[in-house]
Amino acid sequence: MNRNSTAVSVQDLTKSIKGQVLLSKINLECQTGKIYGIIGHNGSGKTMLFKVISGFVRPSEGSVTVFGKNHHLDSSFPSGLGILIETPGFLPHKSGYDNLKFLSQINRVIDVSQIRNVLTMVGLNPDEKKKVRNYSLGMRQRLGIAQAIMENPRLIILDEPMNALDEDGVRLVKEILMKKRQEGCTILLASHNKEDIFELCDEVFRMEQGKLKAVDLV
Amino acid sequence: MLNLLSFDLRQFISFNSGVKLIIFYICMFSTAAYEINLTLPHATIMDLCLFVFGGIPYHFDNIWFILRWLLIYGFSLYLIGDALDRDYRANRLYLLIRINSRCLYVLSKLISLFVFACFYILIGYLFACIYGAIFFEGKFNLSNEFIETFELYGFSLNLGSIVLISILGLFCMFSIMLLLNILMGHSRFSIVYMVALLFFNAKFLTGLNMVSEYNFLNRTMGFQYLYHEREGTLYSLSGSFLCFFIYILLFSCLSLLIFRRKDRII
Repeated sequence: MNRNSTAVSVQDLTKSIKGQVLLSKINLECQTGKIYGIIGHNGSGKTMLFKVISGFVRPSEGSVTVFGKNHHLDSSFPSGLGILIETPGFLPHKSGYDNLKFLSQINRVIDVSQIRNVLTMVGLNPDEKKKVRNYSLGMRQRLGIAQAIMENPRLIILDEPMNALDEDGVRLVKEILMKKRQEGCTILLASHNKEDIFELCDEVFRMEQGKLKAVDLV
Repeated sequence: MLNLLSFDLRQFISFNSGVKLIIFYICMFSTAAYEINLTLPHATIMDLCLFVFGGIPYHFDNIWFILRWLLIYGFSLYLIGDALDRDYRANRLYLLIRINSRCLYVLSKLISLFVFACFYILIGYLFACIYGAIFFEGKFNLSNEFIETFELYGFSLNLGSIVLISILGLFCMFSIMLLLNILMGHSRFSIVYMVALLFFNAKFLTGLNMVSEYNFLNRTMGFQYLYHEREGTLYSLSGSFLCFFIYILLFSCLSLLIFRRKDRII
């Protein structure tokens, strides 16, 4: 993967719905192989920004390019993208392993051994038969992170990935993100926990009322 | 596409929904078989099928006629409602980034809903055959009461056409359900709207007028047979299939258009 090339480029992005401005004149450049953190209160616009970058929401003004392509022009989604924006519902009557297997079968880019590996990475037992509907919130979150990283995406977008995780879970996720960065993955991370963000990220931004401001890490 | 379809089918058809469906059918067919046995001495499997799926009443002021018809279609909406809701709210994003096509997403939902409609109706007819074999000596012919009416209009009714009409009618309802779900983003409201629509149709729109002529629910109800106080009439099978086809195409296209637009706005 070519380091220091632009993975995500957001220029003068504005999103307003029914007269309410949710994102205002946002500019952001993300280089490959780096972790970018966004902190901000609930409702500040972090999730909306991630949805626009992922191609789910069309910007009112401005442009978003991911790996050089503006996906809003042809209503497509960026390839090589892993996301955790809202906790996935999964198939509640199937195990975590089965769920990842079914999801992976859509694109068939990984095999079952990789699914087992990724489940172990996030601290879930791939042989466990427990159904997802019986999972705790923390286990669901771990499974959500596993589905985001399992197909080795080039860009990972995680919205509040540490939510509902215990200390071990937080440590595991941090290790995974560091490893992914070393592999050249670009990661966008949102959290309202400043400590996690400052520890992991190369650049940090603060989202306030739809406006993005750089935060000095020093 | 096939892999996405397989994921969707797993959402709609599960062991739990299968168990619920079997319990529901046991209750439905037990009460229907009991009621038919009281009124028709020479009842057949076809009678039971018409009675349960077609809502053909023996006494037209009987409230069970409306309730049974509401239940048989309402229960299927309840079974898919939860899965549709979960899919739209919690799985949509994760499926869309993998398939990279909104059109494929809606198409897969429609096909899996059609398969579920087949599953739901065919299991029902299987129950009808089992109950018919136990209680009605397994006869497949219609009782005289109905044959006279159908023959009067030169209409030959067979089990295949009844099954097909039931499946297409249910699929029409599912396509409205999908549309409502996409519009409102919540299946609970969709189910309430749908049941209200069914009730309104059963109670008020069964008369012989222009509204009922083009109402696909009427074509499911009573299997081509529409009763009126003074006169009876029959819809043609081809007309009904055309009616279903137009509605399904309309609702599917609307679902896709609204999904594409709404999903891009928020």
